Amino acid sequence: MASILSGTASRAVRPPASGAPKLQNEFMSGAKFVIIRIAAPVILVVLWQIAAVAGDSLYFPPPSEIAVRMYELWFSGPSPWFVTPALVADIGSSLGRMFAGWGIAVVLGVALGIAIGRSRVVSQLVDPIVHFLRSTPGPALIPVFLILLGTDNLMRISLIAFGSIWPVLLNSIDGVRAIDSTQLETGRAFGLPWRARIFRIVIPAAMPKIFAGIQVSLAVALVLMVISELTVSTDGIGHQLLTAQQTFALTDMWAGIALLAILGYLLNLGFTVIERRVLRWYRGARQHD
Amino acid sequence: MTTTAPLLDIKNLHHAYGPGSIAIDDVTFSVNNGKFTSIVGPSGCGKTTLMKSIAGLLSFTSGQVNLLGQDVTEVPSDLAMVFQDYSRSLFPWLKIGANVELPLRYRGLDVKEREQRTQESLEAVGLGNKADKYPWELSGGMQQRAAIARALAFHPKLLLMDEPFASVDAQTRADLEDLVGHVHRTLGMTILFVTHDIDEAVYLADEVLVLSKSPSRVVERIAVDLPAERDQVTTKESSAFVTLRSQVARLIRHAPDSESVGAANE
Repeated sequence: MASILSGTASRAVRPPASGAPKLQNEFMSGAKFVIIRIAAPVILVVLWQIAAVAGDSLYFPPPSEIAVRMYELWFSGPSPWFVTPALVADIGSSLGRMFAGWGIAVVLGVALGIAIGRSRVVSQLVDPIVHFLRSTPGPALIPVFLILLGTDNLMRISLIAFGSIWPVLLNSIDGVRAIDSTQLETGRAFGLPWRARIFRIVIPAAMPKIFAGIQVSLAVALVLMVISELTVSTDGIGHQLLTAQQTFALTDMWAGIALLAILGYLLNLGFTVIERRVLRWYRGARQHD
Repeated sequence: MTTTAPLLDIKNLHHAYGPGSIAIDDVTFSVNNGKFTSIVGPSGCGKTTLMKSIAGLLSFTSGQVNLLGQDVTEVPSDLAMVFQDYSRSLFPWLKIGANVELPLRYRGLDVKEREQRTQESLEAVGLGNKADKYPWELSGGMQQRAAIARALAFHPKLLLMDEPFASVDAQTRADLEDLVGHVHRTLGMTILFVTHDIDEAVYLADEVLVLSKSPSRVVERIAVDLPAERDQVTTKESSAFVTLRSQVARLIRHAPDSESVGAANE
């Protein structure tokens, strides 16, 4: 928003007669955009509040109550951050697992994807296996992981890694296969050693596809994180949710769900910000095509 | 090896992409140090295959490619290449300066030398102030200039140019031709230049090599005895130029297939 405003302000210095209505339009569309984006969720929450108060159901506390409970549970800590030890414990252990599993998925997925994608024969060989494994729902493997890896973090991280590797792997294979042969030949003709060709040509060239895969896998990792914490766990947001439900603390349960929603939104937002920076060249190149 | 040995020596080069699809039948020629050699031929005559064989990007079926006394079996270290498709050969994720500098990192140069060479070669092609632009922010002609700068910064013993100006407009093309001619004369760089444009081939070269239709053979080597300094207008209107271009055109037009060349050679 700031950039839209400052953009209009600097352009308003030159006053072309015909430009005035256009400037206003631009400003209006910018402001409208923000208002509409904020308005929809606000209206939704207000409707929810009205419905919950009117319904007065034990199972559906109004959002105001959930918000207060969230504050009490997690955001009433000491200044300057106001977070409570409970939040640090719940989110900390959850995010730790998620990032560990997701990180393994990204590193392994990209590495395997490059190895597979570089060779037509290998990719054709591996393709059906990858698609078969990918179609196995991650949660269905929890019993297997429990038997093999026990009930601690290793099991959860492995589950998250296994479940979220597929989008990264498939997109990496795809991205590497789609690289222009001229780019690879340029690297060879100028004597770049193979390691440099991988890190300076293959990975950047495949990056748009790889990033799309990583973004999907982030969402999958979040889901698997919660699911893994619903089974024999001692901490994490999933554990908090389950405990709340079992002790009939329904407002706590809803607070947990809301916290997860916010977390998912923020993770995706953070990822988008990084992606915009890393793939700035890609957007630019496509616009100039 | 004596000093008079050719820089590039190709003997009986033969390449088939598969049974029955022979791209190069039998090509033999050599290029002396500091010479500008143009290669022309009918379209699809295996010129790109020839270039890739010299660049070590393709393992040819048989024959010998010798650069600086070394048989080419992999990519030679003293060779740079300018591709036809600049938009795909420049890396869109790197700025112009970084594109030029990237190959230098693997030539054992320190940062200062790399920066200096990058700046020098960008200035040589008239892009001294464009190092911080992305390739896609520049026009096609400027992109090809950047690709030339990348090759110049490499300080190659042999510069390969594969139809480098095929996808730019006529005026840009003339400018780029003069740029390459200037580079050749001032740096004394040995250049092998593939083109399908006869005027361009004659205008730039010390020697024109005419290839036959695919599978290719060398039809004729024509020495271009025009003055070293060339001009788009006066050179091209000189009778010597006109005679040469007609000679080349006739050879290409009536380019025999490889069998009759073979018969003529025997």
